[in-house]
Amino acid sequence: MTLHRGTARDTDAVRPTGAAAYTDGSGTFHPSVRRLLAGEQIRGDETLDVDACVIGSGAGGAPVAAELAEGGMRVVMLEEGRWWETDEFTARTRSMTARLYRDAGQVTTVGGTPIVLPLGKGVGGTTVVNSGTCFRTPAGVLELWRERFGLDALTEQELEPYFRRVERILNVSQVPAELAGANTAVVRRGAEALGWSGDFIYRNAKGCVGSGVCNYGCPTGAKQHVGITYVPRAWAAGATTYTSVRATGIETSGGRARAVIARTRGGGTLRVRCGHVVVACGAIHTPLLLSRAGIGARSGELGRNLAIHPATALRAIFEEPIGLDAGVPQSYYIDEHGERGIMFEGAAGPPDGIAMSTPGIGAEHRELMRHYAHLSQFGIMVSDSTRGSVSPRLGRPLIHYRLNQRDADAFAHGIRRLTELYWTAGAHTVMVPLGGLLTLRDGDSGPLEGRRVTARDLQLMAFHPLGTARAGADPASAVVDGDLRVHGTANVHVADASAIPSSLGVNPQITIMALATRLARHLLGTGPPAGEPAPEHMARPKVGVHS
Amino acid sequence: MAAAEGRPTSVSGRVRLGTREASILTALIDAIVAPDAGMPEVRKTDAVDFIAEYLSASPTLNRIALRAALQAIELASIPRYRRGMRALARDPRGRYLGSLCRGPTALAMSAITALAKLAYYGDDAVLGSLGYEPEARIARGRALRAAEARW
Repeated sequence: MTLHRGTARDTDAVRPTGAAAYTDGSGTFHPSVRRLLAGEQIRGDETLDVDACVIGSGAGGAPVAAELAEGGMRVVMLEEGRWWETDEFTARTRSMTARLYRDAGQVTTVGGTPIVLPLGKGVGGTTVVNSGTCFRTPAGVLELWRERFGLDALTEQELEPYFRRVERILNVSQVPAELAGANTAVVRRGAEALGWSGDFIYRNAKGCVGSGVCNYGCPTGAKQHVGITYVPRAWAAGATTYTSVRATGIETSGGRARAVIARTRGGGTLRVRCGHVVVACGAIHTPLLLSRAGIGARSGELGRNLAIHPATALRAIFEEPIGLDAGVPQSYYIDEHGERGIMFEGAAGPPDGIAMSTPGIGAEHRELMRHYAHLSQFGIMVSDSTRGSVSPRLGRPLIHYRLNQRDADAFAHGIRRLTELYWTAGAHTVMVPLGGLLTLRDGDSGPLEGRRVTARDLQLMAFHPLGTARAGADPASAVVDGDLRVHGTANVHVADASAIPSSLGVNPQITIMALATRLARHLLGTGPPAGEPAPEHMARPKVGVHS
Repeated sequence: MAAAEGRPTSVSGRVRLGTREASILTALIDAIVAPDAGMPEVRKTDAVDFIAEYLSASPTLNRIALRAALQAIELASIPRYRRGMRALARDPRGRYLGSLCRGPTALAMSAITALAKLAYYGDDAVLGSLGYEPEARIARGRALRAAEARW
């Protein structure tokens, strides 16, 4: 298979990534027509003939669909969720959790300490509800992929033009200090006093005013999720999105996929005959669909190797007012301990979301919430060495994940260091989610020192499922090859986080998009995009590498 | 407004909570968030209505499990207190729920208490008491979208 090498230096143009780029909300692209068909209205059987059927419209599916359509292919996107108008976003955690998240936010791991795994559902997928944080694939991770998985083509140079393109389309730019919120200000103060490395985060935002509800649907339309960037581009190029449609199978013969079968919410059936099938249902659902279709199971790795970037958060009370609901919730990162696989990232939000995850009941909980205006919260994300699995159970995914001691030790270290930061920043109380709730006061970290932390002591969430259809050159140990084609098939590809073969240590959305863009250009035979401007600046955090 | 005792809760979704379920939920949430004089009573919020919406969006098994758990929480107080959870005053009700938060029921209670907190603190009056005004954010977003032709 021919790989198209990047030509990163084909333009001297530079794209601004500073405050002006971040806050300018003008110039939004709108297609002349929305090619959006609701599955509720499809009650009979329909057959479509297209060049490419893309299953899923999130971080992987939307870029593939747009690129293929713009390249001249006839494209259909199948999306299980619905289309959400920005006007439907209520800036309320509660109602948006029930509406925008798969299973109302109840997707949870089993097998050890349960870990809630919030996933978006709808046009745009999880990009509608994520924090909008953008980091390129770290160089060390790409090196690991080459050494361990034979992904020799995935070098920084090869991926450069794809990242540039994604970043331009999403307007990836840096949160300015004035929109970062007081939560970031106090944490940054602590980091700088300790001499720790960190910076304001680069995000896919355009005209952001710091509404503070990125995880519940941006009410200003500022977050440039793929549902309002790539999907409209796909529509403008002739692609159609079917919503409320669930892909149930892939028909194959002679080693080729012939059609995708889907059930509509209206009770009908869609049969999409196509030349290419791109599966982009995310790392939890892609392996289930492939397994059901009898595709990609040859290596025995389908559904295995699940990494999730488990995370927890510390809270601290300051004398000064903070206001967790003001400003960009995830606006700053600290990578000082990145080489140990620990990343600190902002984790602010409205009161009800904070209340939900605040431990205790009765008066204890009420008193903690009384301090809401003076509360800071910051997250600890671990680049996990633990691996879990996804398998079907009663037609639904069963996600098995048992955090290992190495990762628990990383959390213990991260908790101690973030506590140190909070004391340095001037907090008088730090609340640590260990064994329920451990409340530390007046700079005393004694209860943390020497304490052995196990998975059972931790309260975790996770936001980045990866690896369940991992890429690799060897068909004996990987599900898809370096071009994301399922080993042993001619025309079935995977364009989502399931192809990412290891923990990234950073938020994965633009890695997924860059790889998806590369896949589309490969299918089109057009090579890497030319003329993409270089970003003025882009983050390069320190990140630990785990195979 | 949430259901008062004896009045069924209905929402636009598929799930309808019966009077008994709504009553159990009201008592449960009250003990978990323990509103004091400066905060709205649970029955004056839409917390229970939200849980009906939430159940409507939940997977079937989770929905069945939560509804069964509510009944179990109500009845499991009888051996110790000789009355159902709803009939207990807030303090013993809180102690009873606290006991369920430890031991073999801890995991299930962790999910239930989180839901109760979200349900109560998501009410607009409660949000407002903490200085959070969602309508202001929506209005600002609407104005910006109109002015700049955003999505």
